[in-house]
Amino acid sequence: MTALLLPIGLLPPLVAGWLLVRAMEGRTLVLRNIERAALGLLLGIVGMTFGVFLLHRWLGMAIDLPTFALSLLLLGGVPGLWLWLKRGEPSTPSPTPPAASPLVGRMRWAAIALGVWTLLKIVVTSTTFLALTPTYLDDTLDNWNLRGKVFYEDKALTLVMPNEDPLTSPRGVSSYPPTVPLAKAWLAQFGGWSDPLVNSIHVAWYAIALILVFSTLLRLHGRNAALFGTYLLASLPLYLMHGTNPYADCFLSAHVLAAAAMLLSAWLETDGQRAAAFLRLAGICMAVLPFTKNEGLLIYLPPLVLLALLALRKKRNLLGQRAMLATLAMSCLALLAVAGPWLAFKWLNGLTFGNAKPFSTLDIAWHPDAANAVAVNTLLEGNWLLLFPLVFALLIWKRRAAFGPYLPLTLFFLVVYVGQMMLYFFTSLSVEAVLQTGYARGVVHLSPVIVLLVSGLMWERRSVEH
Amino acid sequence: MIARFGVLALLVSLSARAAYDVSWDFRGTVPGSWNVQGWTQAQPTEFGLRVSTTRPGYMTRVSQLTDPVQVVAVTIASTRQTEGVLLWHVRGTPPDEKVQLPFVIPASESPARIELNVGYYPQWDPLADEIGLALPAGADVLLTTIHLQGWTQQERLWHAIKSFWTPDSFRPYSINFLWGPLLTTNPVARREMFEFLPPHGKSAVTLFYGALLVAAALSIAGIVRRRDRWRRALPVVFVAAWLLFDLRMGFELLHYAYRDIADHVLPAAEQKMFRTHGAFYAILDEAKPHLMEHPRYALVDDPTSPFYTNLRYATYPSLPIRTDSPADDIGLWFVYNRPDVGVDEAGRLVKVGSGVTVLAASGTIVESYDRYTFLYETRRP
Repeated sequence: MTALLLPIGLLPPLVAGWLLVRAMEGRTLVLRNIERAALGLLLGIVGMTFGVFLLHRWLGMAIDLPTFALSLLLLGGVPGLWLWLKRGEPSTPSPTPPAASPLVGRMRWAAIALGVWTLLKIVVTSTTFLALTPTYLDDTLDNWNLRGKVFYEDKALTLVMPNEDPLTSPRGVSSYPPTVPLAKAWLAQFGGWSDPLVNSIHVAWYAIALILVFSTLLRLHGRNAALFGTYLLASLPLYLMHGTNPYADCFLSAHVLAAAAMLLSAWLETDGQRAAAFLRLAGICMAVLPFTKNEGLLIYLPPLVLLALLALRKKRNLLGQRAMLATLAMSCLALLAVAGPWLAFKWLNGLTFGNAKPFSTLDIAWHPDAANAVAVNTLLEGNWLLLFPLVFALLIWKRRAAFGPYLPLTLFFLVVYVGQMMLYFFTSLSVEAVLQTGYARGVVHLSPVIVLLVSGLMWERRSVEH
Repeated sequence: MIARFGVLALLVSLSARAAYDVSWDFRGTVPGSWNVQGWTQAQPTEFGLRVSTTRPGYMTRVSQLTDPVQVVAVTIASTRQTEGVLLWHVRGTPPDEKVQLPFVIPASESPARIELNVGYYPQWDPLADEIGLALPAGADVLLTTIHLQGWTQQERLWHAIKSFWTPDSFRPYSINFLWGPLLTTNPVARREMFEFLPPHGKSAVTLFYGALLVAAALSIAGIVRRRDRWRRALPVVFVAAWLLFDLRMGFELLHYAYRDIADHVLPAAEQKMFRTHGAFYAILDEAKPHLMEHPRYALVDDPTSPFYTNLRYATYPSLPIRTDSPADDIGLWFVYNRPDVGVDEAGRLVKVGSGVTVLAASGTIVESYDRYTFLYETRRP
């Protein structure tokens, strides 16, 4: 029953994040309320935990309720104050989605049936796996939940895990950013450490990913594309497993999606002020990536930064030089503000950067087994349904759209996916592909972006045949 | 009308038992002519063939199969766990060249039926002309029957459909990958397909690709011949395949939830079981208040089990120390499923191996969960 406290625990970061997102939009409202709430919650949680990290490590405050409260106050208070000061200035209203004719006949019933089926799956699995059953999976037990409980009990960012060697332990799971464990420690402030409560937060990240896919497609292509894309993402079996189990990969996927979706929206925008608002939002979403998981910093941030620079260059006439420089400066400052303290902390404490093993220990050699394992996981198992044949077929069939309006998503997907393949094929990380312990995680991170790309291409009219 | 009759005929044929079942019954007499080599003693009895041997050996016979065999079922009892080997000769290969398939014969007082899904192995010859059984030195078994089973094409199709809809269980690897729908063609293979890593079955996803290829060919033909209905073949088949796949995998995840609810959520505390961990979580719920009274406690369990990680998390800040050696500074011992550890008449916690090791000199069992699982609290001198 403690899981019922989840909404209470999520409300403060949602409010703080909402204010932050609203402030980033400025006078040009570009998001609908539900999208702003989803993005606000996403950024609110990571912002709150980052604030706690700063207050704890650099000001010596304990990890307890007052510190969380102060962090939330700063996170929401500063943009809130700015919004209050600017309250008299006129702003453009939130956009309305493109008009769509009502679904009728078979299509209506098909949409209802798929909606009920999808909801049934999400509700039953999330309730059972997160709230009704004990913590079971390895990484939850020795990383996400264990660290959260240690932070909560010790009221400190302990780097040496219990019963572990003080010299080697910090180079293990403690090298991951403490965001997810701290979010759990926050929820534990409401009545103590409870597995159903601290595990239930994971379905919030899953819901955020679904809402962001829905909202982005609604904005770009209308209701039918939004429903299609949301169903597509919710139907991916392994993504549903990650969304309804206490693992951190769905959490990262929501952050990657947020940055990519805002970037795509800016790329496709024809109005200068709206494009600038999307770029500011993309900037803040990218800035928090180093504080999500190690992959957020090493794998997803670099291509996103390059694409953001491309977007700025593409939109320079639309934005105007002043707005472009302001957006660039704000994004750089945000990135430095997050990455600086976190990387300094890692460096000062000798924490590593890899996922499962440090990058410094990876030798270069061809690993043929990895290719077979990747092919089986991608094409012959039940993880992704038929997503990969679909995305690669669409990239060929709708290549003009893929390398035209959808260039940011196409490039991001190809660069990251091919980059990961190179790691698995040519480094000792191949064992993660061969044993199927790591490859699918990367695909989970990319799943919402792939779904956004697939849905966008299917609804994009500037295809070869046209 | 014809279609309805066809469906009825199919259902009637599918409800039949194994179409082909050759039974070699060793109770009272030895069926057929066997070539026995190596064993020191092989004696027919009214209960079966008793083989008690100090030397390795085997026995084979000409099989005279007329229909393809997919499963070999051996009914056998053994005084101790033994490794048996199924032998067969592939037609057309040299006579003294036989393929070997090792299998475990568990220790049991009464004969146990061991079903070998030989059809899975590419080396298997469904019409093998010679079949036999090998046993190692020291074996002491009672062989009751050997069955050679096969199924008709219709039955195999039916079992393939059933195996498509047979889900895996929620296991530790399920967060990394889901095997997805598999195809097997007999009930034995279906029952055990997820018990192996990788599973013993063919990926049913290949069927989707086959259908998509055919649909793509139709669509291309439709474009060339300008026939709209043909052109739609690929998108229609793709959507149908996606929905069917979604239904299959959604069913699997809902089945995970169903099993969790039926095994763990609804049963009374003492009957709760959970996925691969059996009664561990139910026992942990009861033991946790005691464990958390001690800053450190000893965990005596199977060192290959995952329970240390579970306990470290569940009882933090109280910590388990995994050991099965004497430790004076431990006040509480959590013995989990260790038949070799118990409390002797003097009240000492002891481990019985090649000798007796005293783990704790005096104390009492605080709580006992089953025969080999209990909490033992030491008494301060």
